[in-house]
Amino acid sequence: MHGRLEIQSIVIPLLAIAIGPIVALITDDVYVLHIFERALIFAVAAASLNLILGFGGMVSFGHAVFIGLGAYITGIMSNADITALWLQIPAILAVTGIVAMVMGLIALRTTGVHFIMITLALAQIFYYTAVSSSTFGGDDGLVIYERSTFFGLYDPWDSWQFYGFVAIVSLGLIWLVTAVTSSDFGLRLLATRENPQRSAALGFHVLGTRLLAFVIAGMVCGLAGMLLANQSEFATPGYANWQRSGELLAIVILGGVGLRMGPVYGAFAFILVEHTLASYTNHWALYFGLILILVVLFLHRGLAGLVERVLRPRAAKRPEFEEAR
Amino acid sequence: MAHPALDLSGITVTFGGIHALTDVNLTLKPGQIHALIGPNGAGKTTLVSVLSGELKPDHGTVRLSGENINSLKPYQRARRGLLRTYQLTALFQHIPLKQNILLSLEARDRARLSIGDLFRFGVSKRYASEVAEILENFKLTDKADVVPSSLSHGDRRRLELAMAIIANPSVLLLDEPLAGLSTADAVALVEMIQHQLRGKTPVLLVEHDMDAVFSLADEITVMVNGNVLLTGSPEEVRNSEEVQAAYLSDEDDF
Repeated sequence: MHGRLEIQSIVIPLLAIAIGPIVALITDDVYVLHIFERALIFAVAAASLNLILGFGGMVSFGHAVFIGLGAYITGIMSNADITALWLQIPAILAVTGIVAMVMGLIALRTTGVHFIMITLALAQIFYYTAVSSSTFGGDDGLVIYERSTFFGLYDPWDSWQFYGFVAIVSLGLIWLVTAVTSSDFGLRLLATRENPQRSAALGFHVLGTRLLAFVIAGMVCGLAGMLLANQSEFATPGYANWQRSGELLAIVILGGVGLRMGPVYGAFAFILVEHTLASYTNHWALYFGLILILVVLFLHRGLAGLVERVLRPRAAKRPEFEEAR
Repeated sequence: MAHPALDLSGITVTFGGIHALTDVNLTLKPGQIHALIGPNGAGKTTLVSVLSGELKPDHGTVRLSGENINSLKPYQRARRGLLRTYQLTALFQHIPLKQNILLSLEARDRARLSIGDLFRFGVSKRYASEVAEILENFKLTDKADVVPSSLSHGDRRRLELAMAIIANPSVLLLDEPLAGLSTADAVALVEMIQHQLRGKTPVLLVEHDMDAVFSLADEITVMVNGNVLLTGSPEEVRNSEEVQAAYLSDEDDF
């Protein structure tokens, strides 16, 4: 039973990176790669949110701040001619790690609604700082003139090669989050979600466990921001806006909270719905909202739960969340 | 044997103007099962919370094997071997029973958080044989993959006790382990405590079920209104008129 799930965690991300090129080849339209790049990037960001939300029980309403941080660091460095990833990535990890640590130390003193509000408030601090920083484009954002490079191994301006870069990084990060949830640490994280008092009574350090998860999620999401900055050649305060955080939450819920592959399903569904509906109407978010409501009402465990049910209709009732193994 | 396993002296707790505990002294000797009884509101659960570190007393000291543990947080006390169960079962409700047991074993072997946890996998494989044995011992084998939220009350109680026992505590606090159990389940659980804990682990047992208390306890402390009324052997407690007046007679319907 578990074997099957593990295979899913390996196969689904591989399918996710393969589907873009397949569609591009069939339609003979390289432009569609950009859509799938965005889907992969949001899958990574949502996977990092799912780590703290689904497995840690921490409802962060400020998670997009790490996309913003990652995007701005990438943009500022690239525009200063430091395009090498081996310099950009450590910088992003260091900054997002420290910010996540500080944010976590403040926000994790609370739980529930208070945690939601504090993460929201802290993220908005970054948003307004970015809006008012005229050096980095302020409200208009920062146009990025150079994409990140990796020892000249790929040409970032070639659509196919750039897609390959996004795909490989996304794949690595999604598997990384999956590995974290499957590790011993993942099991402890589940324990703090289920019953913090009991966790402490067993001898686990609840705050430390939550904080470590929060920092890992922040760093992974920062790298998603790096990808997004490269993809859109742009860094804007809007990336860190609370609406963006809300979208990430919506993606996780749509895909299935606490299910490892939920964010992948959720992100692809979100981007495809956005893309399809946006060509008909400007008010596509209204329809997305309706879809989300229907999913929450009728698909208890999101799209990933639905796939599970279709693949194995006669399986015994699954636990509500996936657990460490 | 120089120090008692657990020693409480002069514990006083007030909530606002209400004295929940007044100058409570209690000593738990190594290997002993010590029962704590008293009518509702006597302060038994408050005392357990003070012991486990979830509540700070206004006065008094808690010593574990002679060491003053007043300033230690619950997780630090747990790492020193002071474990507890809860009156209302406190399990990890939405993860399978087997994983609950794994968490308890993990806590026993390496409670400390480390970066290494991120790189260690296959926890169920590592403990496979031990978990199988525990499930067998506590008669939970066929429920290994069930989540506690859909277990029966009796099964949850057994799991709760199992999680405390397998972590190999140096002192175990059982807060009303028999509450809400059917007679048959209660008898089985008493048997389990006799079997698994007697003589090995010092136990502080808070319990309402008098049959269980008198069959298990080596020593009994009776509390009324936050005060210790009497500490003595089961015989002494049974024969004390004071205790009968204050407590036992009221509890006939139990």
